[in-house]
Amino acid sequence: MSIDPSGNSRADIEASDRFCFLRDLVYAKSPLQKKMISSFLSGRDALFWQRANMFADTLLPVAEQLGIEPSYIVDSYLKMCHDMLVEQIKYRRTGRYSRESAAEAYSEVYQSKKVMEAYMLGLAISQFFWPNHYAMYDFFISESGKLGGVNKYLEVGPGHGLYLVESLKLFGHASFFAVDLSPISIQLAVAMTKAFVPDRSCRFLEKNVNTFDSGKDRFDYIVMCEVLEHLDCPLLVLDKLRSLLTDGGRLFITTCSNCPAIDHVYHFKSVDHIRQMIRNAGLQIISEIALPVQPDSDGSWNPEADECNYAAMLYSGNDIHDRL
Amino acid sequence: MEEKIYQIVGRIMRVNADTLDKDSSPDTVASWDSAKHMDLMMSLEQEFGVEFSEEQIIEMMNVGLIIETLNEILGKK
Repeated sequence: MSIDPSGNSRADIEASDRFCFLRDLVYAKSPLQKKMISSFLSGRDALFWQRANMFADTLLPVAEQLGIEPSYIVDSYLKMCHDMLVEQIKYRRTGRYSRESAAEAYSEVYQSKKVMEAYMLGLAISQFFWPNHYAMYDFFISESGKLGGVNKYLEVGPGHGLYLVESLKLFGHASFFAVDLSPISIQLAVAMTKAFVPDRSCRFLEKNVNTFDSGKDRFDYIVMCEVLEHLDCPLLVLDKLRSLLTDGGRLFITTCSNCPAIDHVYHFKSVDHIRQMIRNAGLQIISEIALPVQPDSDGSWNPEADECNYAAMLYSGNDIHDRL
Repeated sequence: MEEKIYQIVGRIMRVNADTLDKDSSPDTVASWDSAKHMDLMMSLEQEFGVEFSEEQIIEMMNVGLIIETLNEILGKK
C-alpha cells in the first residue's frame, strides 16, 4: 500500500472490483452516462471511495439474495436515466410534469414490482454516479452527524434504504420507525438495512404517512428524502411531520425543483418556492444546499427556473437562535 | 438539409461545424452530454417542424443517424 501526497492510502482511493464491475457495465452500454460519470468519479476523495466500495460490495450480495443479477441493476439504472430523459423532453415541450396525481403514480409506479424495484435499484446506484445525489447524501451524513440526543427516529419513504442505513449507524441507541406506501420499497429497504447494519433494527410500516398514527410518541429526528415532489399536497405532509416532532426536533428533507420524472407530481417552480412552503409549514431552515442539475459551463445557473436538487435540515421550534 | 443539421449541431455543441462529420457523436464531441443532446433534439424539432418519438431521441446518437432519421420523417410528410 503506497501513500499519495494528500496522505490517503492508494488502496483506499481505488474502486473495488464490484464497483468497477457496475461502472464498466454502464460505460459499455451508454456513452452519455460514461461521459457524465467518468467526469464525476475522476475527482473523488478517499471518503467517497470508501463509501462507494462499501455500497457496491454490500449491494451486489444483497441483490443476489433477492435473485437480482448485476446486469439487471445496471439495466435498471439505464432504464431510469432513459425514463428521465423522456420526461425531461415532455417537460420541455409542455412546461408541466406528465404525471397528474399521486394516485396515478401509486398505481403506475409504487404498486408495480417490476417498475418500482428497477427504479429503486437505479436510484440507489445513482447515489454514487451522480454529483448531486452524492452531494446530498454527503450533506445528510454530515448534518445528521451534528445531532445529539436522537432517541426516536422516523423515516418517511426510505426507498432504497441508504439514508436509513446511515442513520442506523449514527444513532445507535434510538428506536427506529420507517413508513413507506410501497411494499416493494420496504422489501428492498429491509434487505439493505439487514445487510449493511445487521445488529440494528427498524420497524417498517407499509402506509401513507398521512394515516400514520404514533399515538403520543414524538420523534427527535424525521428524515424524508425525495418524497415531497411525489405528493399532491406536500404542505399537508410537512404540517403532519411538524406535529410528529418533539419540541426542538429536526426534520431533514430532500426534494427538487423543475425536475420531471415518471412519478413526480408536485412541481416546485424554484428554490424559493420550496423555502416558502417550508416556512408555511411553520418550520425553519437550519442549513440547506441547492444544486443545479446542469449548470452553465461557467458554473452559473438560475434558481428561479433551472432544474435543481435541494436538501435542508429543518427545525420545528421558534427558539432556533437559542438552540443553534 | 444536411448543412443545416451540421450548423445546428455545431451551434449547440459549441464547436465549428466544419469539424463535424457523420460519425460525430458523444464519443467524439467533448461537449455532447445528455443536456446538450436534449437541446439539440429540441432545436432540430423547432427548425424542421417535426416531433421526434422517444425512441428516436434516444437512438440519434451521431450526426449520421440524425440525418437519416430526419430524412425518414420528412420523406414521409
